[in-house]
Amino acid sequence: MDEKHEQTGLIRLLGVEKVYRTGTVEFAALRHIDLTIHHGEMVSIVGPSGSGKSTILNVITGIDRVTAGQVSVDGNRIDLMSEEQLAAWRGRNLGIVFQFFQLLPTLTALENVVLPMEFARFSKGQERIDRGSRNLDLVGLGDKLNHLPGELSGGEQQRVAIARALACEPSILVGDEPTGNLDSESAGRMLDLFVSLNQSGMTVIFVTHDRQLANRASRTISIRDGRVESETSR
Amino acid sequence: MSVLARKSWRDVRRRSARSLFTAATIAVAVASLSLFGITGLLDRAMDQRVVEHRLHDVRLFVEDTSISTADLDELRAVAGVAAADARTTFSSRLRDGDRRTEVLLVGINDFEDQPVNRVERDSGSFPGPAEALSESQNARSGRYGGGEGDRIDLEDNSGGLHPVTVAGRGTTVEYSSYVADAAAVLYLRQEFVNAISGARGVNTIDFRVTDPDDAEAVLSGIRTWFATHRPDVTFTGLPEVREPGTWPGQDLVQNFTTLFYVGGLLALISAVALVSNTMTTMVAEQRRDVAIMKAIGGRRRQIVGSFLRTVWLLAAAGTLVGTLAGIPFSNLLAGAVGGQFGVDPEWGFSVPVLLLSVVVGMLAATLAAIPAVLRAARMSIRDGLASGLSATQGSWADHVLHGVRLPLTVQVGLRNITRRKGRTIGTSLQVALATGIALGFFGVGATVSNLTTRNWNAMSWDVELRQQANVGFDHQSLTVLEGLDGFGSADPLLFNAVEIDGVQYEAWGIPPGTAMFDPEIRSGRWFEPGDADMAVAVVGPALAKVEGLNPGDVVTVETASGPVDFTIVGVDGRILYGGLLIYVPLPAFQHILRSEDVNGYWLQSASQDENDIDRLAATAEDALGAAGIPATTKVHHVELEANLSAFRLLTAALAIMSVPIVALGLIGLVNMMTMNVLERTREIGVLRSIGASSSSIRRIFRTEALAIAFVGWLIAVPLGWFIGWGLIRIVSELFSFGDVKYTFDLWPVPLALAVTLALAWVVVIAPLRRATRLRPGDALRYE
Repeated sequence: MDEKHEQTGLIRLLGVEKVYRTGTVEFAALRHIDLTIHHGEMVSIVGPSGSGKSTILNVITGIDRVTAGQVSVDGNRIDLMSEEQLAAWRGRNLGIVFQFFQLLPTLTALENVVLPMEFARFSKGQERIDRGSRNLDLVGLGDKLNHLPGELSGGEQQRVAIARALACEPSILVGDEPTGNLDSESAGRMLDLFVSLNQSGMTVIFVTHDRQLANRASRTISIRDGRVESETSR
Repeated sequence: MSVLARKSWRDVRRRSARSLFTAATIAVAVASLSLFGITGLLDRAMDQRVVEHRLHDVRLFVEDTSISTADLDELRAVAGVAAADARTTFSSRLRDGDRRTEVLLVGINDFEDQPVNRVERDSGSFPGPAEALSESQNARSGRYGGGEGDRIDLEDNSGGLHPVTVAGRGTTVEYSSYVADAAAVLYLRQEFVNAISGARGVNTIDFRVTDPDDAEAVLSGIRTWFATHRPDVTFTGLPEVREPGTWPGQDLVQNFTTLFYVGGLLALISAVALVSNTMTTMVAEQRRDVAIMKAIGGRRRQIVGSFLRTVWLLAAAGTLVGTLAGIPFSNLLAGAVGGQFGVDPEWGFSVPVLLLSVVVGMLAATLAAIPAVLRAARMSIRDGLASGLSATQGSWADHVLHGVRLPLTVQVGLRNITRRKGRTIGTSLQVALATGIALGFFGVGATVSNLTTRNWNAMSWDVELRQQANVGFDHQSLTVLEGLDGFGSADPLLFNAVEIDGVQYEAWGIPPGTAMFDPEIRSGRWFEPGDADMAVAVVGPALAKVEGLNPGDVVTVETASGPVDFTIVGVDGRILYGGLLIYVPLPAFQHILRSEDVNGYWLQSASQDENDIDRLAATAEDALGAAGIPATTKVHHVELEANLSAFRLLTAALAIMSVPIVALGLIGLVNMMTMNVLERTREIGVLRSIGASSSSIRRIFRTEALAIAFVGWLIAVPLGWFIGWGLIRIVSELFSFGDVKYTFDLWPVPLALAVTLALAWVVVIAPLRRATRLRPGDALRYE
């Protein structure tokens, strides 16, 4: 990849460090990370427990603040944004899928999907409902719009979470162990969905401990002890 | 220390915000129990005042007797006598402009040396010649509001006026309660009182004894002295022996302190509910820890014990702080209440109340926590280990709200209140209790105020004239009155004391068709024209209750002319003179008492201007006096004000009581919202991750708080009616109002809603500020 391409990456981490402090104990989760992810890539991040892979996702999404270094996403220095700016930016530009789904339990599937649109003032009225319904159709839950999360299986909940992540048509989809709570069949289907979204132009980044799933990405970054150990492109 | 014990201690430290809040909640609940301590403080203050004011133990009433210094010295030497003093008291009238007020003049030999019934100076200076000290309660009661420097006139028996300058204000235990019941009181030099009254000596001799339990024996010694050394002295009434531990006006103060026990009980209920809610919430949050302990082999008893240790740590901290905070709280309240009676209680505390605070704080927290801990211990490991955003089954509320078009943030807030049903119900009840009590107290205030004005408005006279001395009002008096400037109309009256079963009551002979009295007949009827010469009577409600009288009953009434059988034709509902009046048709009463004259008049003024009415009262008195018919007057608007001021005291006491109880309700709401925010910190992290702004998050939680406040208000309205009804029953019993018609005005209801919602809006500011400032990463990792 040429230098210009490197410099114009969608996501750039430059000299990023993240130290967690708990009382008198300090833990360096990321040590001098330099990383670039380009438009349209599908990237998996792997590593043993405590290696810092989830932390990388957190600094990319702005969920965590870096201790040092710079984080740029699509030309925006998110390390310099305020929390309010970050929340608004995330709503419009990122879709996040969590390991434990993190759906709001009192909202139906459709309402969970529509909620980010309300936050971002994306679309309005019936159009939001229609978009939400389409997203749920896309993930195969078109017949479960009015089900509460408690009435859905784990796989179905995770699919709702993906539909929610796609609500505001983000350019980046981020998953933190998105298949961690699913059986292997559901996990495989989940990754199929990620691949199809990537093929439609979305940049997809996901963290996983499953090498098999990781290999379905076009690029795998291995993290160990807070550092990039290796990168594999396919 | 075992690991489980260490866990209890660390749990408290690890969740420091939560622990602090839980302990603070318990502290507030415990502090509110200090309402029970007010009574003891007031009693102690009054006991101290009795000692400081050297209240008499024995009092003799004598007929204008000269008591020399040597006599007093010898009386002081009688066995058991600690001190003695003699004085003149004289019932006079005070003239302040056109206003004339009944006043008792109390003579003091030496203001600098008062061995019995000491007058404590509150302001100004002790009076010199032609000066007076105004009893401080005069102003509080509305009878006479004058102070230092004011000039007034005092009447003597022949209507002569004695100019007096008010030197200041002072008070005695002996006479301060007299003001509430009867008339204003002034303290003057003894010789000046004699000059006004025309007395040569004294008419009251007061004694303090060394042993109050021995007062009767000391009295016997005093009587023997008089029989031996002053057989010339005439006693005009039975001697008064004060029971140890009693003092004038004690009944009234005790009625108020009883009210404080009621308030304390309401505070106790609120406090227990608050502590229960708090502990249930706290334990429910730790169900994951419970599941983990079960998974690694913990037995139920061990798990419960571990949590109870945590509960006890928090309860101990909260109880200690609350018990200590309750001391200044009860002292401040006692000072506020005591101030209404002119009493300044010293700081102190009640050991029984402290013990109650400790017991309630520790026991309530423990008892509240046990069911929650047992529930958590019974939960399956799997359910206990479920993530923070555990999926729930839909409730009926979720499905109902799903169909309502509201912004999703509002939907989330409304549906969240059904997730923690126990907590929501507990908090709503707390808000309901606080708001209901406030509404109830409004109801009591409205009832009491309406009662007073209704009773006084039943009488449309402006001036009441009563005979003074032994000269009755004959036909000439009416001619004199009719000739007065400002005269409107007059109704004759005959007042007299009667007895029923040995108990004295006041009887009013009243023209059957009078337009100046509007009875409120509860049973039977008022007088008819045909009753004019009949021995029939209408009785007040308290009298009917005490004597068990109903229409149709015949009762033997002892009159000045002997016993007469009256047929009760009706029971009136007006509470005048405590509801203990007996009304008789005037012509019949005159016939019974064999009197053609009357001893009273009700006058209506041609003008309703208060100054004109005062002037009519003054000129009526002067004119009758000039005609050789001395009279005293009572002015309707002055008496109404004096009565209203007494009930203001009651409503002030209720307002003071309501403060801690309403505070408990608010604390409950703050507690619940803080726990909600803390508990859903991870959820807030998720919301922030998917783009929620601070304002969206605030809207979710504000919706919850407002919804709970609204539900609480809904419950509060009928609850408040019931609480007010109950309090009126208690107040009626304490103050002998009889059967009082309860008034529950509706205007405070929407006001209560507005205030409750406004407070709910405010109380979430602090917890939400914390929540919205959290970084999403920290929020997602929050445990």
